[in-house]
Amino acid sequence: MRLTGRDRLFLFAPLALLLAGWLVLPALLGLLATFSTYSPFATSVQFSGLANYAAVVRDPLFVAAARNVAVFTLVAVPLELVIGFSVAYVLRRPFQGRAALRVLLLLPWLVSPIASGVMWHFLFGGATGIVDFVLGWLGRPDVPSPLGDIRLALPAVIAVEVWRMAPFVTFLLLPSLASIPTERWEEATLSGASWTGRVRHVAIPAVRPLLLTITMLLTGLSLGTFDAVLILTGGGPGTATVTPALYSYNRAFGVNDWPVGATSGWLIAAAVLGAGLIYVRLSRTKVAD
Amino acid sequence: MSRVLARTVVLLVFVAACSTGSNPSTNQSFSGTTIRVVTFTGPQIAEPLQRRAPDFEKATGAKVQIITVPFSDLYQKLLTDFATKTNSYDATVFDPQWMGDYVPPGYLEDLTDRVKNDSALQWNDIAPFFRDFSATFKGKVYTIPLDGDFQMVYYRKDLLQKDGLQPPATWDDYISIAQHFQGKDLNGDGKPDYGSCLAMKRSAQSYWAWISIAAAYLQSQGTKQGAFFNTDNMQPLTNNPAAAAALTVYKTLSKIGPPEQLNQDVGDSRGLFVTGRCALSLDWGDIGPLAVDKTQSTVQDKVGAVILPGSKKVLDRSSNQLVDCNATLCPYATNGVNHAPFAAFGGWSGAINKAASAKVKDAAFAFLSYMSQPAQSSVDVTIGKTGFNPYRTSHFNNMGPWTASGMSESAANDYLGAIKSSLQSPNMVLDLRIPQTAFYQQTALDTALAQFLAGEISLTQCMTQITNQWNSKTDEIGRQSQLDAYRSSLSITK
Repeated sequence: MRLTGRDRLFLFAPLALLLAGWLVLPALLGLLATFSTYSPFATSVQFSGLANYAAVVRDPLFVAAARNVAVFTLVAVPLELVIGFSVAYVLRRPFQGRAALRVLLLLPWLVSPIASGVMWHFLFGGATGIVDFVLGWLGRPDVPSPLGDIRLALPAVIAVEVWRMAPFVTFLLLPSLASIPTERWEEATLSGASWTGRVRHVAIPAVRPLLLTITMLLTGLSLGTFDAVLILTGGGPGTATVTPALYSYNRAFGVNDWPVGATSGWLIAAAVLGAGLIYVRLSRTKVAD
Repeated sequence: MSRVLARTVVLLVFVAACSTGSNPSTNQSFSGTTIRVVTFTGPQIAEPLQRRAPDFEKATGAKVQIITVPFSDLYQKLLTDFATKTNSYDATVFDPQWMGDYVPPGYLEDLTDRVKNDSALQWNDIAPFFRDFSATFKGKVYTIPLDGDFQMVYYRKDLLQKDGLQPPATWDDYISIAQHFQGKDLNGDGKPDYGSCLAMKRSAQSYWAWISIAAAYLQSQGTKQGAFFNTDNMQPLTNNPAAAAALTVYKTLSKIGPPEQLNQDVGDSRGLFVTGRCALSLDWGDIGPLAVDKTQSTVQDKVGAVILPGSKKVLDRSSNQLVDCNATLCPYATNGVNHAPFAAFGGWSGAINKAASAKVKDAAFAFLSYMSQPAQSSVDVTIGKTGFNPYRTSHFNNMGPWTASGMSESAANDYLGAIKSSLQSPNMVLDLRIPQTAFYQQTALDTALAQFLAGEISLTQCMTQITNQWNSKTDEIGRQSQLDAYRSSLSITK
């Protein structure tokens, strides 16, 4: 049965109405607020032009946050993809317990970022941590938590994010890799392809569209990183782990500076939108190919 | 004679009517009235309210709804609710620092007459600092204190006695004691422990700890002198030799403690202290009850407490120099040491929404009064999970609840002695409570301290950064209005 334009409109309308009321309208109101002195309790609102944007991009704290999230995204996303893909590749062949393992892979992702932040705060801790437990067992002295070290705090936060998201990538990729016909693997093997050759010529082409979608998803999530950092480090030590989303939250809800909070929020949205446009461009190119 | 009798009867009826709001055991006068009280999720603070609400309901007929929201949302939710006239809450148990934002627009009920007329509340039993400063704004009472927050220093009595050391009287003493114990095994587990454990994590309680240190250098002439701004021109007191001395102490202490101290909040430092891993700590009153809690403490009866250490040098505001204490500069000094105990946060307090109906206001006041009355609060301040710390004279004089909570008499004397000497100090430092206090402390001060401790900025840059950001915010809001608010918070009337 072919859907008519009217059918499509009818099916799409509930979602459109929902999104319009609960997402588009509040987002646009937020966007308007960025050009004003709006606050829910302001007695008067004045147009402020681009002053809020100028204030945010000139704020050294936001600059530090933008730098941190750039590093975070550039390191975390490739690591999540490589680890997620590698584990999915290893698990692609059927074996007993694979279904159960797939469910287990979801666990880190299902744990809320707040809960995982609390958990890793203690796991990294000097007296309570898993690392110190192992070192103590080996008779070695304690090592301090990397979260208290300005050089190691951001890598530690990235590691927690990779721990949370890489298994999720595996979960998403596994069905596609598992569905590649056995003959394709056999053909590649018979034609003398090495392990890397089989990955390049068989596995990656089969999951490329999905890989692109996952990359977009991970990039968007990384750019908006907030909850885990809030709990793990609060943005410290110094400004080592502050992110734009944390900055936005602190300004809007911590000190009631709504215009700056909304402006920094929209700058994050703009970055995610940029990543989305690249994704659309790349997916069109692939379709054209 | 019959006229005298009639007058006596009328007087008795009047007295009984006046006291209905304060003593829930009297009647069911609030039957059908619902009081919506909002506070933070807790379990601290919300726990005693939830636990005691049923007794109050049974006695008065009122229905008490305790609504809890995360601490980070409480300020915002209240402000939005008041400003938009939604009035979802009739009363709140909140941070009295926010009075600077809530009182000027007229959101809170003036309780001055109510507290005067409520004999059961025993207003004069509340320590003068909390009565006259913490609960008061522009000379009027707006809150009922339920908690006595200020910071003290805790020390391991057994360790100091063994090594013949005295508890720290100055911050220099604190540093030398911390250095003495740093790296030694303090709890017998064979591992090196720490001289001092402080909460230095960003976006947590770090700025309060620094103010506790800076207070002794900055304020020497009584509460009304103020420790944050010059009360004549609203210039910040954050770029001078006193602030520099306090920053130097703070940075030194960041290196005499757990190596991950820059990422530790009070939960971490308390955990380390009560498990015997630290010789010293700086905290609110909570460590006292936690140290006797057998389920988590390994230092029962080994903990002493003292008033915040002081300084022999203070800021001379006329010359802007750090100078030796003398009788004029430090009128409240003890043995030449200026102590300035810091009422950090100010203690959870109850307030009433001015827009609530008259009957609900009466019921809300009766409930807050009931929570504060000695019969209830004397027990609640001895329980660690309530988050309530002593704030009434009777809390110090009535030792029964303390010993019943598991504290030995000597530990109770030690703990209460430190609190008492802080509370009796005429030089106590009131926490900042002006419009947008959150920006001044949680954003500007907290960020600069975090950057300084992490080595991202120098001492001079740190002081300049705080001062510039505070001045910008003051000018943005209005210097005169901020000055008026600051002076009002300090009850400066002239």
